[in-house]
Amino acid sequence: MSDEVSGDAAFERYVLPEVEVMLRVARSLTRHQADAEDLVQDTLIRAYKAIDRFDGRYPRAWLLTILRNTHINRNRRRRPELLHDPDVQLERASQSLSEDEASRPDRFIDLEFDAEVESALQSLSSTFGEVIELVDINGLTYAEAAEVLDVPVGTVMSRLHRGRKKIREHLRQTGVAPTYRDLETGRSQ
Amino acid sequence: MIRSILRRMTGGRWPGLRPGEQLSCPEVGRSLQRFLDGELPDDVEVESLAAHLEECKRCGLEADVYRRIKDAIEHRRADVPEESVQRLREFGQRLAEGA
Repeated sequence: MSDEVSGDAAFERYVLPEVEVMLRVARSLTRHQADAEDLVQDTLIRAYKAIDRFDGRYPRAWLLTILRNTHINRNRRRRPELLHDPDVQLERASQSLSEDEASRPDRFIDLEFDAEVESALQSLSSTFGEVIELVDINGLTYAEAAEVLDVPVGTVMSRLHRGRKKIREHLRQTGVAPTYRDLETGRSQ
Repeated sequence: MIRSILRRMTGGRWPGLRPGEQLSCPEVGRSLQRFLDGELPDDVEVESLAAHLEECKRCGLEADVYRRIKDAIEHRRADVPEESVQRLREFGQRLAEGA
């Protein structure tokens, strides 16, 4: 960290503006609002302790790396039986989707298209789904998603593109979004 | 055509696109996702790809479908509770103030 900026000032300048992004990503990782807030709080503490070693470049990527490592450490500390208890998993899944999350009245909704995208998303493996969630829902860049997942940027691109391709193929098969070739040959709709 | 083949052989690294140079449909297919995500670093390629999508119905349709997929997914984004963000910012602020 530059001598001109104290650690506390650097923390305020680089870390606090990223709280909302950290909370979004934490929710993607934990699937649970309360856990996400705890995770961000732990991340803030770790970031504060490490701020003197931060060089001031790419604060979001730096914070996402801390967030990911904190998440991994928290999971290691948890009791294994709790993690594998299906009732606990079910409860977490149901709590992760609050009622107001689905509705955005300020938007034209193509119900059929959206429903099929949702269906395709649900059928994706977590390998593809988590990348799509980080980039398309949380708005991370490829490089930032790579930090969160601890994989190369090329892997993020590959998983993202393959995941979207699977969704696109689902839309073609269900006739919601035929390809140009389908339209030419009259195979769909 | 030869430049297009060379680009395919070198994974798109060489030769670079000239301003106004046409991209082939396979080249557009390889770069489309990065284009839609705003992750293409080369402005010339961005312009060439956008021009191709305007002219080519097949690629234009694919780009439109992928835009709609991105849009549908993006709007699943839930607003994070403002009070949670505020509470965490205040927590961070107290850390910075040594409280």
